[in-house]
Amino acid sequence: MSGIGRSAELHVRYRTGCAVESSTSRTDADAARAPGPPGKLALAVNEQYNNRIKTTYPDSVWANYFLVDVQFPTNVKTAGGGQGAAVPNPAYPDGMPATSFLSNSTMETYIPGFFHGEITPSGNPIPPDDQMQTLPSTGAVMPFSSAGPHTVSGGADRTTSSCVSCHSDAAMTTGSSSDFVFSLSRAQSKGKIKLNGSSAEALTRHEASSVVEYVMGTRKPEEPAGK
Amino acid sequence: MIKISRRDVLKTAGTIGGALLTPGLPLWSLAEAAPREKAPAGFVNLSSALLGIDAGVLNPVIRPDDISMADVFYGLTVLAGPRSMANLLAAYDVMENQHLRPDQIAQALLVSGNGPNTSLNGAFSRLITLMWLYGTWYGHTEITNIPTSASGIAADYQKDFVISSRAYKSGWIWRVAQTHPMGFSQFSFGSWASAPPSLADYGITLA
Repeated sequence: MSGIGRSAELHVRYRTGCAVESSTSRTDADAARAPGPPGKLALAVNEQYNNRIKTTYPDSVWANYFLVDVQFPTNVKTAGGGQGAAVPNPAYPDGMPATSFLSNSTMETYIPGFFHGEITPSGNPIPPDDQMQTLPSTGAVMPFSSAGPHTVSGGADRTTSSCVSCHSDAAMTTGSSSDFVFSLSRAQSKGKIKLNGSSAEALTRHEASSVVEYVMGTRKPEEPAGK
Repeated sequence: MIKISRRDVLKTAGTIGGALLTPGLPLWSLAEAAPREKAPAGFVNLSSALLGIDAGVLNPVIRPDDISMADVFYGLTVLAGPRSMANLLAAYDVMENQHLRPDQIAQALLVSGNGPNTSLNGAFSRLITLMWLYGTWYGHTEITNIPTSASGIAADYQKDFVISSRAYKSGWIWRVAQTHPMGFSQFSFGSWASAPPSLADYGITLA
């Protein structure tokens, strides 16, 4: 834990740029080619952003965070960027990331996910949201069966200490790749949140921001007004 | 009165034991073997000819942690036999200037008649090939098979050892076999139920 507060870590995905990328106009290739020890670039970005936060939003909670490092793929089948989305190389589904080893030691100290019916070490039941889902939804995971069911959130222990290597396991509810986003495996069928519905159902910017903060562990979600 | 705890005894024993064992440990069997110097293009092209894998694939511009295995391997060969390595690179340059195809160069370096090339050029060609494939320096195996090779290999390198965990993990044998090394996998849970990636995905083209 750093003396300046909690640490946050931004995961970089193939397709969409993260805050670091878009704000510094750096490309994946630039980052991977850049010399220096792991984290050197992140240190420079931290200084830049910290100064900006202090100037623009001095009370922002983000002043208490710092970027540990980022990972970039070094091997993809088709490069992204101006030509569109990058296509992962099936031989290197994690993209052979640089930096090789990087983990979020404060928020992801373990591979999350439990099976239905398991209990925590203190004997409490596992909340449904923390249980690994299986496809189809019933039956035990059959690791040697190509027909499944398979886990789509969590999964077997991996021999990696790498953000994107673990996140490359992420799948949608259909079991196909969800582009490194675990939360898509918990997507609801319909009706829970309508982003394009009536004004009463659509998320306001404030509500959307609350969701982001909740996901980042910085804030509890607020109930929409009137509920 | 000085109290000697069990921890002190263990620490002392560990220190003495470590000191006794250290001289016997291979120099390069580290978790990470840092590159000593930049590999010349000739070394990368020679490796490409020996393995049949494109030089740009063997030594990509963008690599994890900016560590070039070509640099690591070249640095080791220079320590293992500076003169042998210089002679081999000179021989490769001659053949390249003669516009020999990579497979012809590999044939000339590795084969002599119906058997292996027993010259030092042959020895270092084999050692380089095996380094790329297995991440291992096979000095002892080379000398066991062809004793005359010992004359071109430094004493410290007349043994077999894994160069580093990264070298082991990066071994091309795993990609040629369309699999992954024991203890490391870049593939996801359940990947074994799917067909492996093609050789082309690994950058390997078959003539």
